[in-house]
Amino acid sequence: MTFAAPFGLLALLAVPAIVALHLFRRRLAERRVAGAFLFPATPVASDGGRRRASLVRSPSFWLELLAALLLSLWLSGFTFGDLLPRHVVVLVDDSASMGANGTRAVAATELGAIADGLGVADEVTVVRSGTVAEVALGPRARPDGLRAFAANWQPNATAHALQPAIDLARDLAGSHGEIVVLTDRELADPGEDLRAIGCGVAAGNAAITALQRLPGEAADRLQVRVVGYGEVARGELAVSVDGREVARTPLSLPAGGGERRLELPLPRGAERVRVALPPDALAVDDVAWLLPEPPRTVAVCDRLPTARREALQLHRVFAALSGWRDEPDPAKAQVVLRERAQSPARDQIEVVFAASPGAVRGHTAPFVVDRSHPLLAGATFDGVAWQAGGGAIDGRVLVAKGAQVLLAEQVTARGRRLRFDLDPSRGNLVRAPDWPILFANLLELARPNVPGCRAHHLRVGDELVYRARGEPLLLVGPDDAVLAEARTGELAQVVRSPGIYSVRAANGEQLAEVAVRFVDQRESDLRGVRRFDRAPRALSTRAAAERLDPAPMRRLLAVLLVLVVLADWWVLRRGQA
Amino acid sequence: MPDDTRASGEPPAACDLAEVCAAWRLQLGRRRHRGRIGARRGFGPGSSLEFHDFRDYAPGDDLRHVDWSGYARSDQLRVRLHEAEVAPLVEVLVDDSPSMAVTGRKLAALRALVQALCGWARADGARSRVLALGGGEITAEELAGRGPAAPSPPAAALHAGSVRVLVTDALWREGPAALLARLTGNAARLVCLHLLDATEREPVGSGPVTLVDCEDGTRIETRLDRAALAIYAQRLARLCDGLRSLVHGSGGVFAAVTADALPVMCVRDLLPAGVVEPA
Repeated sequence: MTFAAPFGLLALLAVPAIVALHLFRRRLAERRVAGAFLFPATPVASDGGRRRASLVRSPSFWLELLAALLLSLWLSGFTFGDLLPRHVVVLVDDSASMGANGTRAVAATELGAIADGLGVADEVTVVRSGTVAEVALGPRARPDGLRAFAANWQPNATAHALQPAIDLARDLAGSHGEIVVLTDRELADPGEDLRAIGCGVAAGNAAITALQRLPGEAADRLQVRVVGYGEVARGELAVSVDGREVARTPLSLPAGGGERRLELPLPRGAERVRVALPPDALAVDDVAWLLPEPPRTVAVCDRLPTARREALQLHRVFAALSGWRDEPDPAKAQVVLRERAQSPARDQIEVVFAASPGAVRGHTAPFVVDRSHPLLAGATFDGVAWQAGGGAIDGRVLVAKGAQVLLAEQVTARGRRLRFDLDPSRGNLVRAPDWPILFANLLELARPNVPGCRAHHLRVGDELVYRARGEPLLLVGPDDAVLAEARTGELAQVVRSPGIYSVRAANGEQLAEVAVRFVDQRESDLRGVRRFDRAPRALSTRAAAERLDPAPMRRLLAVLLVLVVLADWWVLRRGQA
Repeated sequence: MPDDTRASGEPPAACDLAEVCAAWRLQLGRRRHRGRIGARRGFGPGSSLEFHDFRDYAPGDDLRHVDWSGYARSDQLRVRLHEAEVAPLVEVLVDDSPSMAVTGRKLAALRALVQALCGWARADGARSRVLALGGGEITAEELAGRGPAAPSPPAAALHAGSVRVLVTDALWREGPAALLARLTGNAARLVCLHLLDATEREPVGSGPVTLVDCEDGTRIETRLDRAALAIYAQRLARLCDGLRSLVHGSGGVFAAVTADALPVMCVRDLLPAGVVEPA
């Protein structure tokens, strides 16, 4: 009877309640008479005066106390051999290889065996491994939940380390719990306190590792890369477009494993392409999709004066770049070019070209350059003479010459600002090869802020990001279940299983589709999985203790409780007769 | 209503009992008795001097009993029969239920009455025995209110023609009609002493109280006000009247006795009812 069994503790409150009831109940002076039936029984209203009377230890009083004690013992799962229920923390390796046909069946059997070994009062917690380990059942759930989990469990994660999940399991198990790890590969350092069960059933497997559309003049072509791990039965690779099968090609992988590249013609106008391998041991890597990818064009708003624009030679720079468009409304642009700093809009990059106050001085390369910033990727500034004002500009320094900051980045509450301390009328920066590189990097820096899907083809474990202009969004999974909801217009969700995901508006309108496929050579290769059962080398005292099944004790307590209640009822009824 | 103080009613002292037995005599009634040879008229012919009847002579009859003067007048041989004289048997039937010991005074009165009845029988040349209702033979000292709380006849067989004295409070939930019919069946005389304590005849008290029945533990919450006491008196009177009617209906003698000292009970209760008479 502990805080782990709160209902037992709550039922124990009935004991003082019964004592209080007997103490404070109305009791009158008693007279022993013969022929009490001759007296009229009239209801007696309670009179004022002393409320508490001496406790009468009647049979009914003792029976009611005993019933309360039995009830609390029954609710707390009392056993003579075990004062605390057994707590088993099951760590399931959620990597995709655990979902292979044979391995999955063995794992389900082992989970069922663990559930069978637990009594009704025992508790189980399931920890699912992954990049971030999480509790999939419990903590301290009833053993029946383990069977339900085993029936619905679908491991789909890419290869990952089990150590974070083991650490979580140890935290949950505490000093009295037991830890059971279900995996398919040997643990590098399992520790002495956990039982490791290997469920792996080695098998050959084939996986689609690459899928690409090759544009052609007349028609596009589909390039598929299939890798076999071990002996894989021959079969046919099927290609479907918009749900209709358009091609089926014999697939023969090298004996003992190897790679095969296939190129297939795609019908004109084919958009949703699905490629499937023949069924094998692991189904999760047998399917891949290709979806149309709408271009993500960066909107650039040029608010510079004409003279400044000419001095910066922006027409020449943007003519050499693609993937951008001119946007007259600065509120709708991802990049705004200005002469004076203003407040950038949300997720907007404001680029300010102005010399700082003070006398203009020339600075020649080399400069101090923050190479970690993506804006400066590939920029060398060799032979560049940079004319800048003599004042200082705030923000993170990206380019500097001595104490003079030439280019700085200011992150505001909503967007960011790139501040060029530059007098373009002098110097040669705008004519140097680094100048268009800076603008190309600028466009790529702003491209993730373009509304829409950041990527339409993802791998399991990647993050699906969709940006909209403030309207609510829904992410619907391959099984038509709503996985996430975004009210602010930015959806970000790690995808955990392969399939076609759909981003929808609140009214159900489909905004974008994202194809997620499973690619992980370590999980697709099922040749190294093993079956084993490693017992813990050191059990905690609590775990090693002999445990009794509390079910018979609970039944006995229930029978005793019913008998005591009936006896109390009989005693009271006899007294009232 | 005083509580259970048994010390308040001690059994009568031996000298008191002897005096009471000498001063009073149990009225056994005019009906013929059965029993061993004694001094009371019995059923059928016997060997007393009192004439009983004539009957035709049969060979073997004692010639001394032939009515010779009648033979001279009618020329028929007839013999003279005489009445039998027996010593009656007094069977004291005692209700030993817990209600008879609800107060010490009531239990003491019960024991005194039983001892007196046996003493009166003995003084009158009659035999006596004490039987507990629902039980066997018992002595006055053994009476302690441990018998059954139901109107059940004694376990031992009753003698035909005996004088039966029932001492009870008749505070049974069941009616006593069946018991009285059984006791009256072949008795020479039935006397019913309805013994109640004074606090039972006229209970006092006021305010709420829980009444606990001494026989079955029944608890009744009530307020002992005037109305409740009136209802109780009404029900008790109905119970007493019913018992009296049953006893009288069967030809018996009924006496309402209030527990008290034995001489007081004799003068106040037994004498007016015709149970005893001055010796």
